[in-house]
Order: sequence, then C-alpha cells, then structure tokens
Amino acid sequence: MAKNPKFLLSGIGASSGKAEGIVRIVSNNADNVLFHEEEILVTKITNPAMVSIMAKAAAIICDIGSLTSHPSIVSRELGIPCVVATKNGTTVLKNGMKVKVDGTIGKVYLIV
Amino acid sequence: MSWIKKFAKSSFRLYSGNTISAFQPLDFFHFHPLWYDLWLHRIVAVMDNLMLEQKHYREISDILETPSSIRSILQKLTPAYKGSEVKNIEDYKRIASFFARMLEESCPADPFAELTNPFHTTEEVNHMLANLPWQDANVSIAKRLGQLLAVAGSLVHGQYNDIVTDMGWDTYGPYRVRHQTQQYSLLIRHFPNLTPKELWPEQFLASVSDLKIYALYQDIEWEIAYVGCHTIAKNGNPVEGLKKFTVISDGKVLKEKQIAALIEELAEKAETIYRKIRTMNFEELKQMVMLQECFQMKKMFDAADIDWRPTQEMVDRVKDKPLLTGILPLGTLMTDLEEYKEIFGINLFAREVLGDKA
Repeated sequence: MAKNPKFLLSGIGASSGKAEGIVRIVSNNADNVLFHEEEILVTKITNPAMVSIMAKAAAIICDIGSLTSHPSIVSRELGIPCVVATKNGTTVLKNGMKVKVDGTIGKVYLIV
Repeated sequence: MSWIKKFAKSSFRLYSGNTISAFQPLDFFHFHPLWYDLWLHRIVAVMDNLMLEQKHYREISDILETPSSIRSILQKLTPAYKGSEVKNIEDYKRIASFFARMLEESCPADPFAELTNPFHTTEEVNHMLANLPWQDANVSIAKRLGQLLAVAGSLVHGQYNDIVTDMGWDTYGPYRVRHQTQQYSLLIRHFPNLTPKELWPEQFLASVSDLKIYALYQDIEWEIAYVGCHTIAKNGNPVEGLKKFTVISDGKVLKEKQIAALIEELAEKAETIYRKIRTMNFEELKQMVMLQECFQMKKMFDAADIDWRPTQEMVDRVKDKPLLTGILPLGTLMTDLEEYKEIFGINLFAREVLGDKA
C-alpha cells in the first residue's frame, strides 16, 4: 500500500476491500472503451453495458448510486471495492491518477 | 408482533446509510402511484378467482416468484399507497397481507430477510450437499464465478432493470452446513428466468433460462439484507473463501470451459440490451416499466386465465404524464428507522390500511 495517500473524496462504501490502480474515467454512453486490467473504473453510474469493463476493474467509483444499485451489487459479486455516491468523482479524479480505493469506509486517496 | 414491524425493520436494512436514487431506467417510486390502483384491483380479482387467501404457500408456490420478489412487491406497496391519489384501502390490505403470509410460510425462519433468505428446509439443504457434484474451487475459478455472477446479474438488470430485479435474481441462505467433515456457509445464487420472452425479443435473451450457482465458503460471513441481490460479505474475501462449487444451468452441470463461454455470451447480451434501453424515449420507458411490473404476476394471472399485461386503462393513465414528485426525498441519506418508516409511508400504511402500528 502507498506510504503517503492524500484524501481525495468520499462516498458510500458499497463493496468492502482495498485496491490501488490507475484511474480510467468512462462516460455512460461510451462504447468500445479501451480499459486495461486492474484500472480503477470511474463513472457517473455503471450500467449493464459496462459489464465487460467492470469485470476487468480493480475497483469502481461512481458519482451517484446506493448499496442496491448496479455498481454496488456487481462489485460485491466480483469481490472488488466499490465507492458510490461520491457526487463528483468524475470531476475530481483525472485519467492516469494513481489512487487507493477503500470500499469498506467509502474513501478514495491519491497515491503520491 | 405484527408483520409490518418486522417488515419495516428488515426493509430498512436495504436503505440504511443510503440515498434512494439512481434507479434505472426511471424512478419507479414516482411512477407506480400513477397507475398502481388499477393494477392492484386486477391482482385482487386474480386472488379471488383462485381463492389464494385460503391456500398455504405450499399449495401455490408454483405460481409465485422468488421470495425476494415477493419482498420487493411489499416494499413498493407502502410508497405507492402514500403517493397514490386513489387509495383503495381494501385492495392494499388484502394484497399486502397475502404476500406477507406467503413469506412467513415460505421462509419461516426469517420471512423478511433481516439477515438471511432461508428458503430451503434442512432436509432440502442436506439433499443438495449429498447429491450435487461439488467441485473444488481455487482463486482462478472463484474469479470466474464472480464474473459469471456479475454478467448474469447485469443481464438481469437489463431485462428487468431496477423494477423487478428480484424476479430475475435471488440468493438463498447462507446455510451453515457440515460437508465431508468441514464446516461451510452455503449460498445459492439463482437466476430463474434469463429468457423473459414476454418482455424482450430473442436477441436479448440468454441461451439458458435457469442458472444456479451453488457455493460453499469458509472464513466468510454472509448477510442478505431483505432481497437476494443484496448479499454482503461481512468479513473475508469471497474469492479466497470459496472452497467448493457447482454451476447448473437448465439442469445441466457446467464445466469450466462452458462457464467461460457463458460469461462471454451473457456479457454481450447485457451490453446489447442496455444499449437498446438507452435508445428508448420516456414514453417507451414508461410502457416497458409497467410491463415489467405486471410481469411479476404472470404466473398467478395465467393460472386464473386472466391477461397479465397492462390494460388499456392502465396505459392511458400514464400516457404523456410526467413522473410524480415529492413522494420520497431521493437525495436524503437515511440513517434512522423511524425516519425511514415515515418517508416510505410505512407508518401511514400500518395506520390506515392495516389498522396497526409499525
């Protein structure tokens, strides 16, 4: 784990666990997105059209959502951390940032 | 204690620490009250036709959906009553009481799934342990099964959306079991209908209809909060904790290669169906949501030889109408049971419909 994580944003911890990875922001209407294994999926809210991406992600961060919404349910089954309802994850986070996601307490940190 | 108290306590776990928002493809809490009274009246007609209120769950289980689906029906009744202009109290009372009793009879140990969804008897569980072709798990296959659950769940989210998700996906257990000298938690994930041809054309249906994933875990504590798709690992890691499994679709045991192929197929179907949904306009979405909601009673309606689909009157009621507003505060974080009971109209329902106190 990173030595100097800097707190970036918080939300609802929807699937427990911790993961580190590179941020990849995905638009809700995007098709054929180039998404690499172990990247951190950041989006407004996932939908079933993103399921292939979700299966590759190390963690998921969403602007909206609840414990019962699509990203929460799917991430729990995949066993990866998920933070929903961050409100502004897609604007605070930028492609290429290295972050740590704590799905247990619903927090996201920048790895410095 | 009245069922409504247990219901309130259990269903609160679904929303505790949450905001109620992000429903896909539309906010049904502000849509259903536009037409629910008409539909509920039809359900009561079916109940009368089949004399369901005089029958035990065991006699009619084949015309009911999964226990989580029944819980979902109850969960929508109270805000619908709160938001409806037409408050046909007798219909609400009979339907709510009937489905609450069905849960008490089908899952007597925890009817409203406060912590578990105990749908099977001890004898049924023992029969599964003794007769299923259990395979040893490892991290690789555990990840595969996670993907299978994710893609099947996503296809369900496309076919049934957030409207009637639970009739496409339930989870039973966890059952604490002993198998070949070891202690395990048994969880059964069930996708009972991946081919709802009444809702979608062929290209959006899976090649298999019924999918069951049986999993034996160690060192992991599972909880199910009110509905099966809301299964949470309280501690431990599902990937490392999976010890034995078997996957059965349409009665056939799937091998690892077949599981991999099914993952690819379901992922593609899930993406395709959601792309289709994204092209639908508001009026089309309302019609689809109404059809999905009615679909959960299809078996009951079919048994009574009554058309389960929305009537023209129901369709006309919502045509060119915007969603209602203000029934539930969508952005509010719910942290308190009493506040939840007020917001979801549970107190109102208990008082005015059941003559009770939540």
